[in-house]
Amino acid sequence: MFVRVLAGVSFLTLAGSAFAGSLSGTVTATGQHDNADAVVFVDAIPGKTFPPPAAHATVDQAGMKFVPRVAAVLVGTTVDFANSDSVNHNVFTPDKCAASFNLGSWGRGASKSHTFDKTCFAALLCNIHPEMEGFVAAVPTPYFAVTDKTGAYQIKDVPDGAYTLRVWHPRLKETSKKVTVKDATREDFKLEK
Amino acid sequence: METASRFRRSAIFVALLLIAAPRGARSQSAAPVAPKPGEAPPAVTPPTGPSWLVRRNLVMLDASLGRIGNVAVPAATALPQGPAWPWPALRERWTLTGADLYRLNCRSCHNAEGSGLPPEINSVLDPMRATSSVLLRKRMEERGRSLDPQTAREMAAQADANIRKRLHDGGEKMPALPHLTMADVDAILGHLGHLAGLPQAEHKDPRLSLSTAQVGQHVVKGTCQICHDTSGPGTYSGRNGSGKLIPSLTAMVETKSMPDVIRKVHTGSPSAESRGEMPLFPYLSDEELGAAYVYLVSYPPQSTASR
Repeated sequence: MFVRVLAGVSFLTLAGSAFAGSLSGTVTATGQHDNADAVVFVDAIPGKTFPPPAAHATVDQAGMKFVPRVAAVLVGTTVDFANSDSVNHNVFTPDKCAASFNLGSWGRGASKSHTFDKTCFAALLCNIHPEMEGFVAAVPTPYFAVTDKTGAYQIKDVPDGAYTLRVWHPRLKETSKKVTVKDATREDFKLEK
Repeated sequence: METASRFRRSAIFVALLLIAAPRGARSQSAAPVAPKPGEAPPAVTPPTGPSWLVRRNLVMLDASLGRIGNVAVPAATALPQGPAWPWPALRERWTLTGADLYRLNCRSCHNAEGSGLPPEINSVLDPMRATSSVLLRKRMEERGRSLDPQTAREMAAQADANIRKRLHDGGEKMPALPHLTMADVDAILGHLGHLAGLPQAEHKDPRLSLSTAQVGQHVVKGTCQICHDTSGPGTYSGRNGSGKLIPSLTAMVETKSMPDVIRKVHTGSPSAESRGEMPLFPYLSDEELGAAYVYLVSYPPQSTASR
């Protein structure tokens, strides 16, 4: 009998954590060309740490652009900077939270890496092509998404609970709000200069 | 006609004896060694191996290398007919600028402005701008960001090293130019700095004193060898043996006189409607082409063993 109760409890616990909610909604980027490139993420959760993924993220340089223009990763992730162009590219950032790295320059097919070890919104620049600009958003939880052109975002598998949801954008003022996630939760934002 | 031609050839021979570099220099340079970047190469070495098109697995008719801005000159266009007798008297010492060296080594692919033909041929202007710490800091200020002078200088130095390495090693398509000395490279970068709009303080305009053979070497290794093998029968201009035969440089000096070569470079092939497939190089002077001819005769191209 006792064993059966225990088994029942552990079954419920498992089911509880596997049954996560989701966050979705729309971000309106006031005065911008479109609503893309806003990073929506759950801020640091007290008492919780997330081991960085073993898999690397990739930012390519293709057609004289950083692709994606805004890449969001969990803090601790290593980002590989690839080059698909026939010209050499350089990648550097003036941002101290990413150690103001300067990876040098390299040609097509090669790549260089940087590990983002703290929360950071780093501008990516290429010394050779000043028109190029990209960003890496290193955020404290694995619950993040980048908006598409319509401003839509979706963060799946967020455990039910109360969080601070933050929204960062390369050109607009950052905003945040307290949210309670239960099942499929919707939150919309409007960003301004 | 026959007598005139023979006279012409013997006259060239005499001219060459007077002009060409001493034989001693030639035997010393029989086994060229590729110097490391920053190391001074031997002053003059024979051209070796196949054309850069062959080395880079390209064919002339599919590529723009060596001929941008030089093709499709209508047959009716009036063109200089090449030198008349007496042929240009070649100087023993030449004074060249960075602009001259750029013209002899870079212009046939990157054109006079340095803009190239993207995406096939990259602009030289962007990588050159990257060597300016002044421009880099200015760009960062325009973005509302700051970059400390030390970091800016380091990044500029890195870009400078890259461009020097590129000149020495070449790239996916770009020929390697290891015959350029440090002084040559400095002068070329000075001219690129001018083209790229670098602040005056960040580019120089030195004058270089060169021998006829050195000038000829720049023309041959920097321009002719892009399409012409140095020895052997030559390579066809199209894929799989289609198109026309691009004769080797050896075959050329063995069968053509100096004025014939100069005329061909300035007028293309006069027999064909399109003037043939040979691009025109109006920006190379008679005397520079004469120097190329002298160089090829004094430093005969070696076999394609290094292929």
